[in-house]
Amino acid sequence: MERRGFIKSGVMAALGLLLFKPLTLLAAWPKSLFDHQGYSAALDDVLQGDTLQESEQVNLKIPPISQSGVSVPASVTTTLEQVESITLLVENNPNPMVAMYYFSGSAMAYVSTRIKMNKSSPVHVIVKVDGRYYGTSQMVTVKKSGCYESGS
Amino acid sequence: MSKSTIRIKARKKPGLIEVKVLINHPMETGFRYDADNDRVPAHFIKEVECYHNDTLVLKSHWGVAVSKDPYLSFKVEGGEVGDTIRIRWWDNKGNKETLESKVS
Repeated sequence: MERRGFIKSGVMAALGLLLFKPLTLLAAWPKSLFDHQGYSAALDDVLQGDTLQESEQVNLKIPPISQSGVSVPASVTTTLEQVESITLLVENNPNPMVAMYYFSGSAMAYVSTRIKMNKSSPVHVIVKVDGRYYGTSQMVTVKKSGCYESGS
Repeated sequence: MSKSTIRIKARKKPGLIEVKVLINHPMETGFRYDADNDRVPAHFIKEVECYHNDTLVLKSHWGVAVSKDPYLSFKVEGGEVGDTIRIRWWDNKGNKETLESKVS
């Protein structure tokens, strides 16, 4: 290979690496993932054939008992670095998939939100780092459903 | 012009910017029935993008289990007072809105 051609291909490869992360940010809304009606199918779809590793470096802050499932505060932090995404699932919801957050640039690996829970359920968080999946779960007891009520 | 559905609080903290966002949106699940026993169709935000000074730092995909009038908080490393935070959402009915705010 000629020297100039070699340099050119190196530059193109570098550009390719730079372009990789924004491409994941531009992914379309994954309808099939949100449509799953069972937790194991939704989990398989998130993991795409990989395994989920329980990790103490992933922290889910959520109240263990909630009077209502209409609006349950959930925050995720992790000491893992280079986090690509955080996914939240409620195992016993009609559609377990809740939300997926993709991080880029100077965003820190943290997210806080409020979620609906149909009934008492384990809540799962899955953190993706370098193509691997790390997770944690917490059981949340819900006194009153948050999916079918008016104003939910 | 009507008032924005988005409210942004972006505060400079030591070493980071903390952003808190509230959006007025019904987030209807599609599972609920109204007083006439008709099913209320699903109406929910599907995508939210968060920009720090024109750089996309957080993108999220939401389903119907994100609560009504959604709350979202995230953090950006570094940053300065006066930086711009821009939030943009789209819902399943094709509605969308964008709002930006300065970091204080």
